[in-house]
Amino acid sequence: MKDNKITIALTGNPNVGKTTIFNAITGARQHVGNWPGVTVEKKVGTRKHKGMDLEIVDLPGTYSLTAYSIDEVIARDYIVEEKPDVVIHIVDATNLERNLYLTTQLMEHGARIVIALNMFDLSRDRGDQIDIDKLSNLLDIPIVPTVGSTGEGIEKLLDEAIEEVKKGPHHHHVVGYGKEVERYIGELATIIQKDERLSEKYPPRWMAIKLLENDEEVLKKVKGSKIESDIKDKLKTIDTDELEALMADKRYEAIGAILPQTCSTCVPKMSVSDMIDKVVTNKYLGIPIFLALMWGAFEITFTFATPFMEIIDMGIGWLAGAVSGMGSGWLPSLLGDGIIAGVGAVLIFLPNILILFWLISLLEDSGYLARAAFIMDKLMYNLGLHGKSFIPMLMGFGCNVPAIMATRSIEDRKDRMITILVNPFISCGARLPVYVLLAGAFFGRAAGSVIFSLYAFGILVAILSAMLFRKTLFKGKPSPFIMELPPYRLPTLKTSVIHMWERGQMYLKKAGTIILLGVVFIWLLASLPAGVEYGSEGSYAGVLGKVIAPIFAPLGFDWRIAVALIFGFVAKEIVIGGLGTLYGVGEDEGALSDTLADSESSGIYPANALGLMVFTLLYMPCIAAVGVIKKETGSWKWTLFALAYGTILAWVAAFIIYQVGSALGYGG
Amino acid sequence: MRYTDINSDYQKGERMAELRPENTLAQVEPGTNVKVIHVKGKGAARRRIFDMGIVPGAEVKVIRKAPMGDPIEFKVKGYNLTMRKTEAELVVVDVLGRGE
Repeated sequence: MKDNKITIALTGNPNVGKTTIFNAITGARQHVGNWPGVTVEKKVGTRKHKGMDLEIVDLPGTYSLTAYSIDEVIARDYIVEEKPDVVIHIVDATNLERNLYLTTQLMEHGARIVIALNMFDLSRDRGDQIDIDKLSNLLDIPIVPTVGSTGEGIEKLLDEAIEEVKKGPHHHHVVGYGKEVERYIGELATIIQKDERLSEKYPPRWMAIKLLENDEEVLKKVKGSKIESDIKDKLKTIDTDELEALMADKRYEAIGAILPQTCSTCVPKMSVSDMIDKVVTNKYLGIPIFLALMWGAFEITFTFATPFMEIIDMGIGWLAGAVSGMGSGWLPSLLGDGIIAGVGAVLIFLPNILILFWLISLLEDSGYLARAAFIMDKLMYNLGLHGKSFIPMLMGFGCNVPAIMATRSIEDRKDRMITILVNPFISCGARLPVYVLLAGAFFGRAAGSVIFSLYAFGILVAILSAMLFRKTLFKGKPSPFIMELPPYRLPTLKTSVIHMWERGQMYLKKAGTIILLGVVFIWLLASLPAGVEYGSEGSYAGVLGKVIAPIFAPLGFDWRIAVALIFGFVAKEIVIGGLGTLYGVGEDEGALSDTLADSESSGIYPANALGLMVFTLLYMPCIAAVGVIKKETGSWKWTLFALAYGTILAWVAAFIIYQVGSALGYGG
Repeated sequence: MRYTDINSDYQKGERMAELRPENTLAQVEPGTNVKVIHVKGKGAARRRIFDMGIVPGAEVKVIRKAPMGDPIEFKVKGYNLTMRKTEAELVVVDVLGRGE
């Protein structure tokens, strides 16, 4: 604490209402960033309370302080390295036993703790009688009952947190591990104390316990220190694999000794949640219910989004009209052909994204998404993925940008990278207009089947690529699947809307900046050198199209298609607009369809039309998706890999289609 | 049926070095209550299993298998946990019986 400034860390198991408490404390005064070096979200908020400036840091949800997932490493490192003034530990009042496991670990570390006994209303309503004073005494930690959704108890919680900081350093009595282990702990702690640098920074007893638990991250901290060899020699004499079980057991034993004294009624009983699960994850009903919910989510997304999309479309149309009223010249062209067309093409998906995100937040907050992972894991596992990969794949049919962002719920890096890299092959909404136009022009009554096959082909490519990546780039089995199925809860409007907005905002902000740059770049290509007609043969885009045309010649694409595909990098439906410009028919899609269908003059036959559709499906993701791949993988290397892999695959597929098609007489 | 030496179980030495048929959480039918004897393997996954409350001596009820047969859902420490068969195979248990 300095200058009336207090740093408070929020910690707790997943699904205990941590975010709700965070929102209740900080309201709108929060910002979202990333933890250094990783893509895990870091949320920090501020609050004034009793003349103190509070900085609230929301740590990722964790079950324990051993280093299992990246989330746990972050949460622990923050508490261990940054040493917040006080830790508010949020405990689910309806599931004390497992929640208190984390408490024992926090106590072990010696952090100053205040417990928020959250969802207290639920535990009260079901008849639990928790003796809070007694529990508080036994743990030697202040406890405040809270209800995050109504804000009950929040003021008192902050009072207690400030009080706790004033009290100064505090040593909790901790779990006793029995004679043998305590001897090891003592011996290791003695060695650790010989290194002032380490023992000043980390409590020696805590370090000793973590070393006995084989904690890789703590072993790393010892590395290079003067006591490294002493520690290693000592550890060699101990069978730490055996101790891990014993230590976890002792922690639960300590909890088991406290709980019956403080809550005699807190015994597991058949809950409403269990009854819902009897139906929802039922052997026969589970999959149909899952499919119905997913279908419903899509139906709602697209139905409800349509009027908003029309409004945005009208707005863009009005803007474009106003700009063209400014006359000719480079500025109206940059604004009209470049920025309004390009950014508008992305903006129009915002209603879709917000609604889809809102529905997914509802499903997530209600606890259903965990069931979806449970139901789909077998299938995804066989494909080299993880149960949690399913939702991002499904979202990809709407837009790959939020879909790739949704991979954040996947803990394991390999699982997550594969899910990100194959996501662009799931055919997003922006690709549909391209299929509709080309399939309509060249396949007549079979158009519907052609479009359906394209979707199926995208899924197939995603699946085969996932299996390939798992066998080559990201070797090994999918990470273990050990997951809580949290009780069903009624989601609150406030939390789900905040959730939706956080994600939607990121789409706008991050993707927006990259899109703007990309749009201006493409515009420059299409309008320079000065004086050429936009996107014409003489423009740099046209020149580039001609230069790269030989690459596309084996696919049956001429320079105009090459240019349209370059335009499509901004957003894939722009391929249509690009073709309109290049074939000189403008925005009239009916005329474009007729022009293209005239194979003699357009040079497009069914074989290369199908090739073009497949190429549009597979080739490099749009700028927004590339931006989000860069952000989520944190690596240009993998972003470029995604670009190259998709594009090469697209070329090969279109080549085979055109060559085979021509041989069969469909290539003109 | 595989046989395993459970002498490595640290618990109280009451389980003798006898050879006995091994029951894991992956083999037990839904509806069965079991008691955890020990958890095999090593490393992060094993530690996570402990963290989630599957410790020697803990009582676990097998609730159901997912519609496609895997993963499996359990009730332990008053909450619902799910693991794949591959993880459940690490958990050696004693069958206590069936019931609510």
